Amino acid sequence: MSAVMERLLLIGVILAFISGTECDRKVTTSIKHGCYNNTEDACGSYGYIEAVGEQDTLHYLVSTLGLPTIFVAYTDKDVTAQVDLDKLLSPNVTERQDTVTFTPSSGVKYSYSMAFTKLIDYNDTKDKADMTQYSPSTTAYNVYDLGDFMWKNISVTSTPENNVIVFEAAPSNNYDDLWLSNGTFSIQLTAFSKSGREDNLPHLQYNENLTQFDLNIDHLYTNLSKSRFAVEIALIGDNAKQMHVDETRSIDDEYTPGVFTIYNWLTDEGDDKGFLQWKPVCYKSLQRSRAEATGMKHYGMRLSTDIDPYMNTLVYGYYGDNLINTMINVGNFSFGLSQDGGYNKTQVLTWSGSIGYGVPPADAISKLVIIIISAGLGLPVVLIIFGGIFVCIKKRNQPVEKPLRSIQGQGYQPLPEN
Amino acid sequence: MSDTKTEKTPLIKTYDDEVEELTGCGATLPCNPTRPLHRYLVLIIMCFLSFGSYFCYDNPAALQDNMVRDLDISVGQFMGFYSWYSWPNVILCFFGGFLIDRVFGVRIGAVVFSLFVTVGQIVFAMGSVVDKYWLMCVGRFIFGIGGESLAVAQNTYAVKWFQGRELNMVFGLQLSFSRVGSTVNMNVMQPIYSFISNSTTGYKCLGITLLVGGVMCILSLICALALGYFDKRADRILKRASVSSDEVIRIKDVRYFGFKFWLLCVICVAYYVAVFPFIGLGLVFFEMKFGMAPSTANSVNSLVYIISAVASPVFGFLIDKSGKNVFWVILGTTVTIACHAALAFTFITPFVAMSVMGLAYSVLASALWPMASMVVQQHQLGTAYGIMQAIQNLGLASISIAAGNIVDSKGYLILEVFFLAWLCIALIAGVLLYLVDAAQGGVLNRSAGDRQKEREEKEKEAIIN
Repeated sequence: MSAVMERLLLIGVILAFISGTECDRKVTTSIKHGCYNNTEDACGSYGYIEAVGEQDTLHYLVSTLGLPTIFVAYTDKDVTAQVDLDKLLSPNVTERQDTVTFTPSSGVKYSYSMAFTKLIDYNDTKDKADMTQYSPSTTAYNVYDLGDFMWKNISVTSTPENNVIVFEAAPSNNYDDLWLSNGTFSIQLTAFSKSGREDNLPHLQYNENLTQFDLNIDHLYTNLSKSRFAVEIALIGDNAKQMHVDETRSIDDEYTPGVFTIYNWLTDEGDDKGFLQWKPVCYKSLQRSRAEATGMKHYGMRLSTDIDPYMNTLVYGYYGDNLINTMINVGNFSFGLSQDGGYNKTQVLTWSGSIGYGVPPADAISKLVIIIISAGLGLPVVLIIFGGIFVCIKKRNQPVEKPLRSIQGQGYQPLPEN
Repeated sequence: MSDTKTEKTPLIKTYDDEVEELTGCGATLPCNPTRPLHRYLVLIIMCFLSFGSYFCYDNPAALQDNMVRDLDISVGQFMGFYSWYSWPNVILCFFGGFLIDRVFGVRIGAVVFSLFVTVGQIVFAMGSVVDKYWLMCVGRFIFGIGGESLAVAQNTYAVKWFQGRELNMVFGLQLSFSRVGSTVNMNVMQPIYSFISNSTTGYKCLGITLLVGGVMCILSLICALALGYFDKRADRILKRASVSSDEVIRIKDVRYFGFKFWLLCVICVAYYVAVFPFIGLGLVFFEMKFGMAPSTANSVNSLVYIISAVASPVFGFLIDKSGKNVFWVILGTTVTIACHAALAFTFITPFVAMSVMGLAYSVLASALWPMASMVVQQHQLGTAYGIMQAIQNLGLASISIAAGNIVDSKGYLILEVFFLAWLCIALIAGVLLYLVDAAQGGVLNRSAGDRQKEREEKEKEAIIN
């Protein structure tokens, strides 16, 4: 009887657990392309990912205008977003203000943005895979401002029906060296309507509150023999509050073999915050596998008061001149590990992270592990207890007063059947 | 064990009643086989018996960079030197043990297997001199045939000379000597190579370096001959039992080894696969999980070897004093489980876990191997050790591959869980062994005092006979 009760209770707990985590969002992705004053030389596009939940909506506005940028707004359910693309493409700064709006504007609870600002290529002559080992005078640096890149039309590169948007750089005259070996530089964004885990390494956990990005560097040309690449990323907060980077160490690396750390760059404390989550691992091949894995390093973040890089982006379109009053933090992320052969070994780097709103996903030890351990350790314990009892009873039943010699004689007899 | 001897085969054979008079040097303390001092001197020779094979086994590792460069081979081909050694031995050392029991006897067996080791090393070296990769593989194969079977012969010798006395310590000492052999190799091969590279370079230099390594094998061969002489002499003077014709083992007899022996085999394989394949993967694990520098990670990784080299004879000695081998095996397994759990589930520095694991491994190894001699009969001993060694090799070879795949697909936590599962199997087998043994009168878990009494009983019995 009690066993049945126990089982029912267990099922109840599992059901509660499942329903507790169930808060899917309906995700739709659209892409708009436009030109300023209908002239062909000032065209651009943006993607819009709308994730509607039961009570609230997450809006992701993504674009390569100015910089590869992701603007995230967390609003009440019925709030709608408008982007005046024609005006945003205007050469006139004042015209670009208030081109990203939400109605009603009071429904916006939180917003923040992430921008990829620079691509850095440095000569790691000491093979330390650590940028702090060098100053611009002690080794060669190639620094590429992503604001000067040309980008392909995202409506051509993306598949909105799968909620995937791709920023892909187009070869241009600005940094013509970079494209000497017909390489590509791209950032892929993927949104999810429910929680799960990415099929590819590093198998990041996703949920309906975040968008995952994959940064791919594939055969970009470098003139440096010990080249290593790095990217600079900026996070622009909703307000002037301090940001911080959380390092969480975990004993569990079953999803990302060999990686025991997860980082979260948080725009604020509490529940109302944006996050950038990543694991310190990147891959030297587009076909990711553990054999191709290598490490990466981040260097903390620094305060920036320079708003110039963002003046042509969606971020300025929303905040306008208020941008000067928001917290802007910039951080470098360099790829590679000492003695891994450097960028020139494969000339491919791919790295993933996710950005979202709320509490970032955290890894938990899987049930498989718990079952194996409890069975593995439980069985010997049970055996010791019952075996001990068995031996005690047996000893009590036949007191040992036999001479040693007769014990010897029993050496090979099978267990008596009693 | 010889417990079940019948009237037909008295415990101590008496062929003639005349006691040989020892004269001259033969009568002095160090040369008289009835004296402990003589046994200890023979023990030194016994330890050096497999020194050469352990020394040369790791020659490739000590010269890895030079080999890959001089022979222009890939790392995969380099690893071939180890697989040509280990895969044949998954079964061959079983036959080696059987040959010792059935055909050669331990004396000739040890000499024959030492010869294989020496010839194998020379062929390996000549393969390098003429820059023929395949010939080197042949050399490693021949070397392997000898190497593992020589270890079986060494175990058999140990039991023959020390059963009922300091057997646990002797096994501990042999274990530590195998580590010393590898360590000496790791430290001297590179300097030897550099020295020889003054006169010649490339694969020739490598070949000559390996030939110098072969000198160690010749040393072992000399030890095998010396042991054979002393063993024969002791047999004559002490009138030790020689195997009579109706006691010769047949392959079929393996069936009668008994449940306890197979439990020992289970412990042997389940415990060893949780220690050695782990050490093979430990370096990266310590770097990744504990953020250690490669050099620190490397020293943590070698802790088990270093500690076991020092601690094994000491623990062996203590186990001789206390007896209760099954208890020590269970304790060693339990402590190792705790160490693996600490590595898997905590961030406590691995210095602690690996040091304790080194101690636990020493306890287990010193207590486990002598037990085989208590559950099988003397004339089956070579076969029994051959089987244990073979099963262990098979386990290590296959689990190493499995462990590598687990890390690549599921990570180190699952790998540790996998090892913990193996250790639990070892623990279950240990507990079962205790229960079965207790039910049958507790031969294995007898205390040292009881064993002493038992020996006296036996001697009395022999006198009556």
